[in-house]
Amino acid sequence: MDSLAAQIVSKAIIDVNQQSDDGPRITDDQGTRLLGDDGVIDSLAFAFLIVTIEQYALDDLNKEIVIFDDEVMEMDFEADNNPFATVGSLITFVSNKLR
Amino acid sequence: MNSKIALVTGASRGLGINLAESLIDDGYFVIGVARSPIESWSIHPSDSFHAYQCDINDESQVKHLFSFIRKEYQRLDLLINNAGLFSAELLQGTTATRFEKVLNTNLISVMSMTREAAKIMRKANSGRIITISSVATAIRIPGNANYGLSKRAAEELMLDFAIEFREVGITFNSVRVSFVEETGMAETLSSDARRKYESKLLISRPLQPKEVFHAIQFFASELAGSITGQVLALGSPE
Repeated sequence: MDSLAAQIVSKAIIDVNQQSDDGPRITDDQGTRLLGDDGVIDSLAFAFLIVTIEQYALDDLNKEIVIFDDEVMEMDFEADNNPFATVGSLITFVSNKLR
Repeated sequence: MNSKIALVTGASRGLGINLAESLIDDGYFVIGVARSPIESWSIHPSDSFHAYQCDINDESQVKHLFSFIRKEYQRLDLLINNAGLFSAELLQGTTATRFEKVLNTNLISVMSMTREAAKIMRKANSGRIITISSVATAIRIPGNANYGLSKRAAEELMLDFAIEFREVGITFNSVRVSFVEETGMAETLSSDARRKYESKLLISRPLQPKEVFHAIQFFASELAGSITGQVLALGSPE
């Protein structure tokens, strides 16, 4: 499931980077920080990343997942341990959603 | 596919059929959506029209509709949120369930459809989303509170989408209509209520479907790319 999650996250990252006026911003490096002071994307790009992952889950895997669920909406997105802190933690989170 | 692709909700009858047929005449490939079985629709599948049965109040069905569009057509150029549920009922006689039903169809489903359409359009940095609204937003008479409120909120929703998606190349607008000929709209009101509406309209005669389509063409046109978050009112005082 991790590899499927990595696959759709990677496709979504490509889509987000294509939307960036300043060229590619997110790399596949799992340590890349997404949000916060040293994050590479803003909140709108982050939202686009998440909804694109949901689309690929449905289109490629026929799995209907909701990432922004009630539990997630109560999280502190700036905290270091939040599941969206890095590309790696995002893949782990998506993998759990796909189970 | 070389044609532009349009998605029309409520396409099985009334104004939806008129809009779908006018779009086809304009060169669009149209995906029509309605809840009823396709066999019962008054417009039939063709080389220019795909009929898709979907309850737009069901978010999961909406997501699968757009997954189908992404896989089959890879893009969407125009969404017309036409489906609507009319209600003529005094507030003191309504129930929470009926109130919610109108809000679900006229507002919540517009949010779901617009959100999913905008996701596809964002990848192309281009798209037009138009919601059919009503003069009931501007003309308040007893009995139209639920319907008018839902349509006012839908117009506001278009503006909020426009703000969130600013500079992405997608426009979000509303066309506010009164009674449209050949759609059965006028028959949904009592003659007393209709007289009250007509006395407050700037243009009291029924609209022709092609007049509504003209407003759609305007918002959908190439040169309307900077017009977003707007309401075009046909015959309405504001």
